[in-house]
Amino acid sequence: MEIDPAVTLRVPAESAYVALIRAAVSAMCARLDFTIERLEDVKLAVAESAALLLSDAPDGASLDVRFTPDAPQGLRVEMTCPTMHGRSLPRDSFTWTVLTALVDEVVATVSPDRNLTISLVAHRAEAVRP
Amino acid sequence: MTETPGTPADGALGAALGAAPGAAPGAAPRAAGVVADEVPHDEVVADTPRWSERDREREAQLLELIASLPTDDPRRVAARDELVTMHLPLAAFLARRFRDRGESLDDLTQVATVGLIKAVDRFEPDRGVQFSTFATPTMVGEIKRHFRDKGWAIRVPRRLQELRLAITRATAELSQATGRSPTVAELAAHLGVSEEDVLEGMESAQAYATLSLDASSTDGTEEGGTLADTLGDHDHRLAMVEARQTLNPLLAGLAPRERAIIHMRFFENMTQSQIAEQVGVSQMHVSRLLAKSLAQMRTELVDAHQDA
Repeated sequence: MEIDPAVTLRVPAESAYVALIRAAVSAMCARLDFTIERLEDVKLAVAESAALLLSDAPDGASLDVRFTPDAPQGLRVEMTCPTMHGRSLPRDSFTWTVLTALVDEVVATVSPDRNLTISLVAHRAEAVRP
Repeated sequence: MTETPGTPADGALGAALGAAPGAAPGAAPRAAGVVADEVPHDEVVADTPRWSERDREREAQLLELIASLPTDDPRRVAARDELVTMHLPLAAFLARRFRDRGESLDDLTQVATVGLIKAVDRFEPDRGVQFSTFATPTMVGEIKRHFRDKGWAIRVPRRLQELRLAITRATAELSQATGRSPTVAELAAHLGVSEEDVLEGMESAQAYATLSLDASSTDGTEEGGTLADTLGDHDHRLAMVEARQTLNPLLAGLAPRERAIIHMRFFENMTQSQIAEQVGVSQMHVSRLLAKSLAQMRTELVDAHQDA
């Protein structure tokens, strides 16, 4: 099933809402016919990204999660949240290692107004051990 | 030494298992509602139906037969069966002690019977202890392990527990059949439930007992070596992580099995299914362990920053 146009979810930048995001990720992956193993990986990656974003979010901030289809048969999840320090996600961090092991593509960008966006792309195909 | 029930005996044992619940009516009143973790042997003996002198003699005969005959001797198999059947009331009694804790009595009786079979296989008559004295802690241990592995930390509706177990089973079956992890739609079709039910059942796994997650290998014996070996290998991805000094203490804070799983998933790029196969748990369990370990490491990292 297609998810077009994009689906956007906006929640308070608080850890209590991560469960809601996880549920949305599950539903999206199910609609795209991901295997449950893949689905669990994406959920882990999203939870890990959310934890990172929330750790530097100012009080009262919102976390935006945007789901878009990514050809072929993939899902793009973009999470954007204001940060206090405007730090990006270093490539030598453990979080980066975790994310790149879980999904096919990871991009982190900081906007001039200190919004951090973590963009994850997961394809439907099973990850195959190299 | 045989660890698992011998195959020739399965038919007879299966029939005996079905008959086990309620096989000891005399024990029911005292056992009801009691949730003692340790069951004093005297109490057990007092509660199980009286044994005649003939029963005791027969038990001694059987134990001697089992000890003297080779494992595959049909007479030994028959003796083993009979001994197990004789003690089924004890298994049923012990199982009742642990009911009202969210697991069905039938399941607990089965688990206790598995413990009983192990006890039969491990018993050494030369030690000079009674068989029931030896078998009781083995059965209680088996029941406790069952709770540790299957227990729920918070009360999850029975329907969800069953659904989750059904999903775990179906995942294994479908993976076996297709060589890959199933999709939610496939699971729903296989189980005859809606896709939403499948998602709900998967999510309920988050409520799974912390105990079961903390428990390391099921038997605690042979796995240590392989896991330690795994940890020693393939550190190249770990070497790339500059925050190694931060990471190592965090990894060290995890239980050995959790540490190995984190390592295999993130530093060796093994899939959850591959890890599941290697560690000997379900893929769903690997997924839960990963989520829990990452959360634990995150918490400790925050604590470390606050302490600094």
